[in-house]
Amino acid sequence: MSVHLGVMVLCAACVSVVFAVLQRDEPAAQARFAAQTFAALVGGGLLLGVLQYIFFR
Amino acid sequence: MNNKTLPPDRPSVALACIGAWLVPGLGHALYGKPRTAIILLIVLTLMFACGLAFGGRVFPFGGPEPLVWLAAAAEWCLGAPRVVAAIAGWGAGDVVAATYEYGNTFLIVAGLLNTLAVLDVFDLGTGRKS
Repeated sequence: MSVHLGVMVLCAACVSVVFAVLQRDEPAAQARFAAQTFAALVGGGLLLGVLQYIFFR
Repeated sequence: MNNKTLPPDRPSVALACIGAWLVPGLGHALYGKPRTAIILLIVLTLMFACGLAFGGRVFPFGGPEPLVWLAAAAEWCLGAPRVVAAIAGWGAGDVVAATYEYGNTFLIVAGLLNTLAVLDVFDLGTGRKS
């Protein structure tokens, strides 16, 4: 479980950083955008996991 | 259109896009964005290396499954790291590894993210973005 979560977090972190440097110009805006994207990706993944656990176990 | 921030002797859009495809971040470096270039180079190469380390497969073109073709196309979008992997024989894929699918995901996503970077370089070169 920890391996799966860790790999998902690593992937989300990488994607967030690339999205941020491509979508924003200023470092502060990039950091904010990366944090928001990271939270959305990890939060969305966890939410989907919980929904699958509830409805498809 | 705002080309004032670009170097006057900047390369052509086609050359910059090919460079961005070959080496992640090279297109941004050519257009005067070294910070973005370094971040792209580090992150995308790290993702590709993680994909290989997780036992992901470097998909070849061919075979009857169209999804494999799409995965191969996505991985080729990373340019030089994919070429190096092909030459060195890396990425055979460890299908029994718990992280096999994660490895594939990392390899494919790295290529697709580099495609976004190439499109960003195109926007920089044509003046759509400064």
